Amino acid sequence: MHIRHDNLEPLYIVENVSKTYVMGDVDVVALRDVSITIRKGELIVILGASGSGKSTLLNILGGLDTPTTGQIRFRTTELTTATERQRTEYRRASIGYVFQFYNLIPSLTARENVQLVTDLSSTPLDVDEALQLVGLQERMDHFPSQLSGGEQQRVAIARAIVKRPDVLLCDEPTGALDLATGIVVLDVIEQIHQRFDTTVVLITHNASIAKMADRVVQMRSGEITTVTDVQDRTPPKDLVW
Amino acid sequence: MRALTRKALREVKLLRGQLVAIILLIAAGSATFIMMRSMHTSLVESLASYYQSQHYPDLFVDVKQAPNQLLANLRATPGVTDVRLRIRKRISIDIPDLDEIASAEVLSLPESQHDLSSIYIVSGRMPDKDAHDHVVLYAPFAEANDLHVGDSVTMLINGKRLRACIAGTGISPEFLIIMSPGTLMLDNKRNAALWMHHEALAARFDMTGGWNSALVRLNPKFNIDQSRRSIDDMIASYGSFGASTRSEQMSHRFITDEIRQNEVSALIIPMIIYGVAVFLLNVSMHRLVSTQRSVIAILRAFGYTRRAIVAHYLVIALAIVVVGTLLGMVVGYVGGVQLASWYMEFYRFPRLLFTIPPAVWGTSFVIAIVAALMGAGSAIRTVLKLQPADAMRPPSPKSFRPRLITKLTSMLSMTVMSRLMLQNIDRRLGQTILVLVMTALATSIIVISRYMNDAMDHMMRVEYDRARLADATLTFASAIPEHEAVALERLRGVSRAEPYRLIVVDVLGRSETYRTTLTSRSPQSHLTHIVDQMGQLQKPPREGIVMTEHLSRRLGLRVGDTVRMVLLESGRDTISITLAGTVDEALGSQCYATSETMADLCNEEPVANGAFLAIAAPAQAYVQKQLKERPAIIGVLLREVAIRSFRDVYGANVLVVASYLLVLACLVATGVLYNNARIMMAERSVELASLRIQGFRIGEVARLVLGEQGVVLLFGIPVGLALGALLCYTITQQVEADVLRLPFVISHKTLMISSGVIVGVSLAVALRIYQMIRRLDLITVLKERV
Ligand SMILES: Nc1ncnc2c1ncn2[C@@H]1O[C@H](COP(=O)(O)OP(=O)(O)OP(=O)(O)O)[C@@H](O)[C@H]1O
Ligand SMILES: [Mg+2]
Repeated sequence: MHIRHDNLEPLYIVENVSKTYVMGDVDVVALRDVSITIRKGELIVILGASGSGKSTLLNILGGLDTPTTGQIRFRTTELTTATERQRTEYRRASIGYVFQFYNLIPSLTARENVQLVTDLSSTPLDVDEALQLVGLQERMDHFPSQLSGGEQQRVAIARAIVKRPDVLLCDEPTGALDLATGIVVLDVIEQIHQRFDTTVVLITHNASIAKMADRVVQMRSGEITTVTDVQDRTPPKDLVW
Repeated sequence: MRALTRKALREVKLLRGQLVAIILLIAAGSATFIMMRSMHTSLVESLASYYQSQHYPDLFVDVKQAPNQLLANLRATPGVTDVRLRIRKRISIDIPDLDEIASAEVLSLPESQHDLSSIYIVSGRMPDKDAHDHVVLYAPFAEANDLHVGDSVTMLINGKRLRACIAGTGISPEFLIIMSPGTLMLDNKRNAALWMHHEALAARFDMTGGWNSALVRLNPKFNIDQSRRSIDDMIASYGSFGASTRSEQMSHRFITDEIRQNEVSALIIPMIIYGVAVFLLNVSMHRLVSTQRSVIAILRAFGYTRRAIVAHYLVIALAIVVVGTLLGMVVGYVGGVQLASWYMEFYRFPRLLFTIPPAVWGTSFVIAIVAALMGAGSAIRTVLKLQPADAMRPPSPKSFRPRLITKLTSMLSMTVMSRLMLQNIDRRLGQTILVLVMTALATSIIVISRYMNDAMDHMMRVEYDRARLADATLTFASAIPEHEAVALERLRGVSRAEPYRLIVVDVLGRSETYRTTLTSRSPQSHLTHIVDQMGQLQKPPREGIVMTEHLSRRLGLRVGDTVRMVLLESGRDTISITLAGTVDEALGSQCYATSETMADLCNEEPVANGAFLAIAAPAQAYVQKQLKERPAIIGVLLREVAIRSFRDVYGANVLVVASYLLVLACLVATGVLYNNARIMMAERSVELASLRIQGFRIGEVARLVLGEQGVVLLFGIPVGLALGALLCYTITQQVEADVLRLPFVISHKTLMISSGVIVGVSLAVALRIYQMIRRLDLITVLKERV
């Protein structure tokens, strides 16, 4: 059932990317000479200690930030030199974001939160269908404050995928959730990945989550230490933490 | 430095955009208050000390001619403490550089500084005892015509030219301001006063041993009307024009009107500005407190007392207000000095010192403290109510309850983005309405600033395109038969001459007597018309008189009533005549009748005191030269000059006031709109950033934020225009004075400019918001919990 992606086209080519924050006299090196190729349809999990540069890498992939040196290409687009406007268009067309703290708009219902984003795509999913995918068809007309954290995160996932992005970027999507709820959310991500062949890059602190990935990227002090192909992929609901 | 103080400084820095706007408004409020209030005091005090030092009289008695022997009787009148007899005549002055002759009043030189209405010498000195051809010249006239001590002037007295040497230039409280006769124009180039020795003057006018003007000082404890009546009786047989009080003197009337208006505006305008500033301060303090709930809680948990925390916020508010007030004091002082020198161009005082009385300093600080308390009060109350545990929770529950607008519009099909925008407004409806009101207020201030210009323009058009069409208005030294005046038509270049008759009259009203003029108007006239404020012509009545509507109201007279008036000419006859009509004029308070009616009233053949001329344009200079040669003509007022000096004088004033109001309005609009947008940005930054991360463009996000501003403009501007019109109307009602009544006219241009300025301000704010959205830090936001 599981397909290997080794032969598929590369989606991202990251070459010798470094990111340095200048804080007064001190330079903080967040990324140091990072290179990786991400292929279309892969599910990648990034692991690493706090401060190791995971978010920085993800933000550069998502076009929120630009590297200090090095190059990053998405398909044929050079993100390194892209203007602010070009990066907005890139996010608009290709990227779905899932945040640790959901970031839903409190004054809109679940359905409206998802609907808002459909304007960004010419071929969006049906809003109801998207909510059905994340298992929230019953709660479409609830406001975020009337939903649990896990439910809110599922709405956030529906919102991220309704515009049918090429890539889903998740920064600690289960970071604020308990175990059982976290598994439900990961399961939703897994299903989307399967169904739409969406490339997923997911950050986590939890090493046991790594089993759901095609590849695991391990980071330390701004460097990628290892990239491991996962041999026996485990669906989230079978994960043991 | 204590931790709390450091915290205060950091907060002030974060809010600096808003704070600058508030500080500027407070500064504008206190500057205006200090400037106008102190100016008021300065005017009142300068006037009082001027009147006192130059012994300004209480009564002014005018007769045709009376003997000096009357002095003893006048002195003996109960209540009278001092009397000075003098000669006072209208003459002309020939200034070679001037096309027209200048009109002047020549007066007996007071003998000492203790005399009533003595002269304040500006340059040079009083003429020597026997220097009969030395004069003191009215200083503003000398300055306007570049005449100096030692120069000579040529007077035209009784047809003879008299060269006199200028011994000194001076001023007197009788001539704080000299208007061109029959107009409201300040024209120091063509209007003068000069003083020469009494005996010399008496000889020139064949009045040796006599006088025609007496100045009287009264004991303040006596009833002024009683003394006035006794004097009137005493001089009745000498061709008296009656005794008049200070309030009937043009100069006094003008300055007191000015002082009164000044007092009112010194109160109203600063209060409006302070109000806006307090509102903004309030909003900013609230925002500070609401974003700092958790900080407050932590401080409380660390053991800071409630009082320390309240004091902390109070200090922030006070600091803002005090900085604004101090800035305002500096600006107010500089502006006040400027204003005083500007006043001096109109009202000639020996000196008009602008000082800020301690009471005004004090009051502006008290206002500042009250403003700070009002601005910070409700925010502080919120802090007081906050329990340490409360403050750890976010300000309002994240739950959303649909409110009015949201409910109303939920039926409509609209994009989620537009719905979100409406919700923004809905959620802060109170705020939005306040912002709308403030925006409307700013709009209305611009309307007012432009309105004065509109009113003046309109008045000029009515006056000079409809009412006063004569190219020149002549005043004769004494009345001449009408046909002689018509004969002026024979002058080359004069295409038409229309004689007019003018009599000074006391109109007896229900409760007061009003001194004004009765002037002839002919139904066939081509050169002058009776015209109301809106430019409608009104025919002079076949019988009876027409009166300025304002005057009839003031005197309690109605059309059809019989008006009694004293003709202040030789006979001093009291006559009765029907009030045939009233005319709603903008300028002055006067009466009109046909020359036939006036001749009947006086029992004389039709005579003329002056004439209106139509002059062919190329012949202007030639005609003026001819007129200058004729001693019987003591005044020439050229239409062109009148229009120019009207524009010069009022144009400059209106421009200064209008610019000030415009700056103020922009300050209010910018402050309110920018402040509001800033608050919205701060409250919603996480939401907006997350929209940007998802791929919404800067413009799309900006539209969401600025939608509210659009609604504010959509409703605020029309409301502001209407409010402005209403305020202008109120001003026309308030300013209704004897001399000038502003017509209520607002041009399309004014409406366009007022809206345009506000739209411009909001575009600038929008641009700033656009920049802020572009600079939103998307990455930091990801780390935040909403
Ligand atoms: N805006 C910034 N300015 C300065 N330094 C920064 C900034 N953002 C991140 N850093 C630094 O860069 C390094 C990497 O940060 P990053 O957020 O990528 O870590 P992370 O792996 O995501 O950590 P965590 O698991 O805690 O989220 C850290 O040392 C951090 O302090
Ligand atoms: Mg991180």
